Amino acid sequence: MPTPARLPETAENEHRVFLLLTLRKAEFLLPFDQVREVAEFHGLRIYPRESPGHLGLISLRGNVVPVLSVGSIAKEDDQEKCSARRIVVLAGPDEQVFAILASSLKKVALKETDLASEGTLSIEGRPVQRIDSRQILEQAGVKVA
Amino acid sequence: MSANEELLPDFLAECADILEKMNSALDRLPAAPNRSELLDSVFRGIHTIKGSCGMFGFENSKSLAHELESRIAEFKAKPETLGPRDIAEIREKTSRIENLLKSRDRISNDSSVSPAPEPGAEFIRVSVARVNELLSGISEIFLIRNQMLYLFERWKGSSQEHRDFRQSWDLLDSAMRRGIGELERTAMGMRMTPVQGLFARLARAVESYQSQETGKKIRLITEGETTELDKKVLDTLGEPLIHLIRNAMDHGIETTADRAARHKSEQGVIRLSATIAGNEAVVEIEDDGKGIDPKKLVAVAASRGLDVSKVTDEQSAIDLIYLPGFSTAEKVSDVSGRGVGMDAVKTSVTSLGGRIQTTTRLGLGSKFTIRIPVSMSLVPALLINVNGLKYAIPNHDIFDTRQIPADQIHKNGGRQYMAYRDSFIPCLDLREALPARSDNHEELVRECSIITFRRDSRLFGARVSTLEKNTEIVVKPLSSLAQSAPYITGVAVLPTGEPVFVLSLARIPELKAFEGVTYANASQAA
Repeated sequence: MPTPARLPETAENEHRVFLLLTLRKAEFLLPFDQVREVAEFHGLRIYPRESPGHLGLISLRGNVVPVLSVGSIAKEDDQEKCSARRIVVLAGPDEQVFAILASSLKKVALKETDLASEGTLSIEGRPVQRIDSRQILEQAGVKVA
Repeated sequence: MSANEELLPDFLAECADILEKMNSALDRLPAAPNRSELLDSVFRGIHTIKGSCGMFGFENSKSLAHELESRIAEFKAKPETLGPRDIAEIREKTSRIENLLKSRDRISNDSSVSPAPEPGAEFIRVSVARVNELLSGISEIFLIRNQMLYLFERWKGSSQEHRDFRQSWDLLDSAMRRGIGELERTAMGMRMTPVQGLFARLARAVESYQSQETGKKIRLITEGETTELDKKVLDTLGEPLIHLIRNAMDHGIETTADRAARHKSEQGVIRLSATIAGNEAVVEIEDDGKGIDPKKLVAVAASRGLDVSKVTDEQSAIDLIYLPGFSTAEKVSDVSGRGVGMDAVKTSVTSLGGRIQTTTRLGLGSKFTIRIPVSMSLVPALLINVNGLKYAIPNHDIFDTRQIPADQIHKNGGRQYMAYRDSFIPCLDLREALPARSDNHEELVRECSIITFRRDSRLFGARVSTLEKNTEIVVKPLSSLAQSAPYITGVAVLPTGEPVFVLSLARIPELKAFEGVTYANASQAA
């Protein structure tokens, strides 16, 4: 018996998975495939000298991971450490591993058509900024190939 | 086997490495915004190959390298004139040198000549990366052991059963600690190589120089050939040391006639030594030549448009030699003086986390001291607290620790000094230079916690909030994404899971807060 031909999935029907990340009053949308791990935030070790975009270090099972600021993108960096409850470990374009802080997280799937606009999207009537690991690295002054 | 034959594999491997780096630089040249930097690196590479070929009597390769060096020198002067055809020409010459080296300098039409197989069936070749993986695994085991110990320390009990368990635990733990230590030493040892091979190469450079008509007689004295250094350190130090030796022969040691006129022995002496001092490998090259004239250096630097505004004393004048492009050579020689400068030497040394120091006495000679931190994975360290934040300081960096009454710290202007034996030494208050935890409350204390340390031959004190405890740490390098500073040598994770920065005390005086506390202010109390 011949198998019925499957209808091709149109671009409109395709979904992409993101992590909706809240940091105080700002919300960000991060491609889920860049997320390595999510962990509880128990504080970080600050650097001996301050540097914009760099918050400090955390230790994850003995591995030391630098924490970069995502709040600085939305000018929310003042209280970033105080409001954080979660650590999101990300992989950059050159497989550099780093972490960012978040107060809450939610996994969301969005249609390609919803993602047509670059930058800020509207999700449930709220403005959400699209970001990715490259942008976070560049914001911290890291040169990305 | 002659010394030359023995060193041939190392020489060929080094040349192959340099040629690979040159090819990579040539690949990037067409699209590079700053061509000078890449041309400099190609130039340095070919200069080294030329010198080394001379030492091994590879005259064909040397001649071709000299030709290529001169060609690149033209483009160095005018990088904008370098076109695709020129790059192709450089590539073609590089490839010819590569083939010549493969055929042991024999000119042949067969380009597929392969190096002869090396003897030594009792050895196996293991990549440094695999040894590093082994070390990393050992460090992980050590960290897990520390965490288990931390958990156990929190389990309190007073019963006989508890005491028995504790006794057995302690026995097993010390056995495990010993085992990890031995494993670590063995794995570290795999990366270590005696400096003998490098010293022999340098001796060949001197021998080769003597065979030329230079009007000079030179004796090379070597000490500490059995000193073992990490292979990476040896590989990186090769080029700088060759340059320093060539400089000593070419610009340091005088001709026999000049030496006789100065009532010196006809034969000049170059001393080359390697030793391990504390946590540092110290390599020294000292000559009894004419020394360096600081006034001449300042004049030359000024005439070349270099910044001499920071020259305040003789030492800062001498340090001008490390400025990029600085060279006082009045003529280009076969040995040195092409402007492959001391800046490249300094860059190589600092890339290893080390430093280079020059001391010179006019008419009597010069000494270059290179200090490189010795690699260790398990490091005995002191934990300190500064403003509520912990740091680790390797024990070998510490001269001593002490608690002193607060009134023994004296202020003079904006600087602090502490009484030490019969004199005063600068006291650097780390609490003023390092950040504080947000909830930190510094209490008024009658006694100050001080760590004394040496930087070169000078003694300094560092005031911290509290001295905590001695421990062993695994020093990990900071991620390239992390913010580094010269005084941070890495990071360690405590058994509690807390990351702490590992401080290099010798670099503490470089903290911005301590600007102006110069060596001149430091007493030689030690």
